[in-house]
Amino acid sequence: MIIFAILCNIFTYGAIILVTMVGAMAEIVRQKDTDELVLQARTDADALGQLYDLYYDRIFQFCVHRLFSKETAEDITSSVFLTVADRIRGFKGQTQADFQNWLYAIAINQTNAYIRKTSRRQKLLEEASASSGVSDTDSADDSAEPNWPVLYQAVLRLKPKHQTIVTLRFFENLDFEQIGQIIKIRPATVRVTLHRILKQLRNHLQSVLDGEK
Amino acid sequence: MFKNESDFKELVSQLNIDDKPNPSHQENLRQQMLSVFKESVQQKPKIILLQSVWRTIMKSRITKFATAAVIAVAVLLPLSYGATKLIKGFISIRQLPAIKYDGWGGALSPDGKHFAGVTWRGQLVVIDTSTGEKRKLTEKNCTGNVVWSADGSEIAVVSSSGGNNTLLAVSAKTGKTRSLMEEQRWIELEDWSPDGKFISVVRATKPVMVNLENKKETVLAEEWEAPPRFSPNADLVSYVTKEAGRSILHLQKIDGTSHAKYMDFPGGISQPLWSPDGSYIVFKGTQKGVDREYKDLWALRVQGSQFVGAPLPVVPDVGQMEFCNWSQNGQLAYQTGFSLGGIFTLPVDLQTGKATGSPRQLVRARGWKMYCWSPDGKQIAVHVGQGKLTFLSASTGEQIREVSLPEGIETNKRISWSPDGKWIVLSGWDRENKNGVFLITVETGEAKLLVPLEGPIAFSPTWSPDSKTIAYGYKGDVYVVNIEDGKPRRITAPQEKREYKEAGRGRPVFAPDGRSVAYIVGKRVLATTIDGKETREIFHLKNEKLIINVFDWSPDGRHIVFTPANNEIWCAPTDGGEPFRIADTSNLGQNSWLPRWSPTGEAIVFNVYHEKYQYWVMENFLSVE
Repeated sequence: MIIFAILCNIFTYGAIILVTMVGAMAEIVRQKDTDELVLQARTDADALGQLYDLYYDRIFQFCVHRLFSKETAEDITSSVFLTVADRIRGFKGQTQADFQNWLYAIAINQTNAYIRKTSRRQKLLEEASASSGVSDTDSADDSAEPNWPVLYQAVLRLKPKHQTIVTLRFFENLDFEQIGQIIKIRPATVRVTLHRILKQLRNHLQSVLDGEK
Repeated sequence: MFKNESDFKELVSQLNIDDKPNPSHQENLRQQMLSVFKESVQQKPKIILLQSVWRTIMKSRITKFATAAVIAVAVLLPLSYGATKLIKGFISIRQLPAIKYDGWGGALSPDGKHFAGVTWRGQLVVIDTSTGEKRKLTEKNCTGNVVWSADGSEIAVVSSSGGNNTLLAVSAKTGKTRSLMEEQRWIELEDWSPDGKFISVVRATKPVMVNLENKKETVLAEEWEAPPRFSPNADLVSYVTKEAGRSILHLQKIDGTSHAKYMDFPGGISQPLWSPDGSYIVFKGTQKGVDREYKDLWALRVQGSQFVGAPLPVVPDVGQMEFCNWSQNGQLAYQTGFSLGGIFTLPVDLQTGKATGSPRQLVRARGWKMYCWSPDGKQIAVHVGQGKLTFLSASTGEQIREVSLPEGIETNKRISWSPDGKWIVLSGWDRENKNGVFLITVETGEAKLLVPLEGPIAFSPTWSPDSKTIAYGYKGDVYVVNIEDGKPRRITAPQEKREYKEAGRGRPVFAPDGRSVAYIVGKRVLATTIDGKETREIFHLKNEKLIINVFDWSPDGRHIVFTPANNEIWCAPTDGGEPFRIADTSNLGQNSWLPRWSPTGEAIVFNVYHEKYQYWVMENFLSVE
């Protein structure tokens, strides 16, 4: 009985290990497939189409998080992928990670370029402000948690590079190393910077909640 | 409110963000993107490579600065070396608008930064070619050409005073002068050798080279066609003579050991200049074609002390250019410009002598011209130079006909048409150097030397109303001559009065009644009877600011018209009345001159001088190199 139980356990653990190994193998294969896709996408429209399908949602959502307006996010997303289509032949990266970093870099550039113009930035703030006006979090109570429009307004008061770090870290859930690769700074610097950004963001958020413009 | 990163992450996760994509946008963008991709696949690899290189450059500041430095070097280096040579290879012709100068032939400094010349007032001036700033180096008495020293520090010029001619070297900076040579006779400075040891001048008709150290003179020829010029090495001198109607370009060693001639050019050679490197002599070549006269710039190669090959044409149609000099920096300076003056007509009332309208240009002409009315007042005969008489319609200015005078008779004095219409009388000279009063047959242009003269040219021959006698001025006296016997007779008294000595007598005009001849003496117009026995005053100009430069009678003898050497035309009654201005011609040109009252009395023609000079430089035109 005991032996049976031991065998059962061994079998169960073995199955788990096997499944895990198969899963890991599948991930490796998938990863290799995606890397292959990146190489093929330089000359093959189908491969590029598959990469697009893989990344469209993420890039669109990144744009929404950076630009608040879905309509504007669609425009910038279009611009990002059309840039990719135009430049992919000259892309030197070898892996999916390289492609992702490149894609985010393009998206960051384009969103920052959009926000850099004061009139556009003002429009986004107004849009966010209008949205926050209809929410139920217009209290100045410290315990109140900000909604998305309020948080967006606070984020938009940061420097563009800091906005990018916040978005990549908290909305895109990238780790410090990935963020460092995308915006070309050391991961440790990202960490330290983020600490400062959050402090700043808290102040901004408080001022937005207090009704300051 | 969040306290740390975890709190903030929690906060964000709880946000209700509408970030769900729109499927239609996703699909449309997919198609659009793939379409762009297919187009980009068709791009040339070079463009991709360029994009790639560009991206690599733009990656960091270091690569950006490095690239900028490479581009700057790539641009500046050729500019300072190869491109400079390339640019120098282009022919360039440009104006020197800063030079506002009207005077004797000027010259560009060796570095091309200054222009020197002698004004009509005899002042040696230096003009900055960039700014136009003009400095006066001498007050007066200078005359003729100027020549820069090879180092640009001095300017050679002739100063004439009291019958003495001094060749001066004037400091271009301070105006300080030193004498190079003194001369009792009239000389025209032509060149100064680059080593400063020789000058070339023209004395009378002879081109002469003078050694400034020992004053030894070398007469290069008996007669010159173009003045002597020294080579840049100062070892050769070139000049032009004419023998048997053919221009000969001479190339002579200064020490006299060699003398080459080029005599095969099918035309006239004038204004020869050495190229700054001494390898060419360029000259203005004048050739008569069947259709027109050609004046082009030609270049003849010089090697050692010999001519090499035949001249080659280098610049066409240079007839309007008067070459100044070819400076060491490679700029050939020349003068050209507009001749906007001409012969004008002014309607007048014979009774009052006053103008009845505004002046009108009858025909455009360069400089001063000599002209006269036909007896019927319908034509105007103009001596246009180059031995030609042109007959114009007095109403329209159109040319009716032209006659060439034998031996190319020239004149610079007033001419006159006989009242019987048969003759035109002029005082001048011909190609054979016959000088005197000529009778020209109007119909045929044939000429007869009525009064041969020596020395100066006689003044203003004028007809008696019966067409039998001519009066003219000569050496301060007035003479009459019967055209049958050709024997001149002086009618004016010997010059005893101080006024006569100072002013001389000149520009006679037969009185309409034929009994006397009027002429200018200072501020007065006197008339002496043709027997010389009686002289009376016709007019006395009391206006201190005006002079009587030249005058004419009205056909009825009641007025004279005169020009006071400015932009005005005046009329004066001959009965002692006050003179009055009948026209201000300042809007027409620089000066007005030679009023001639028409035989019918309805108009006065006059000459307007209106020259606008420009100075230009030409570089790299020797494409024969």
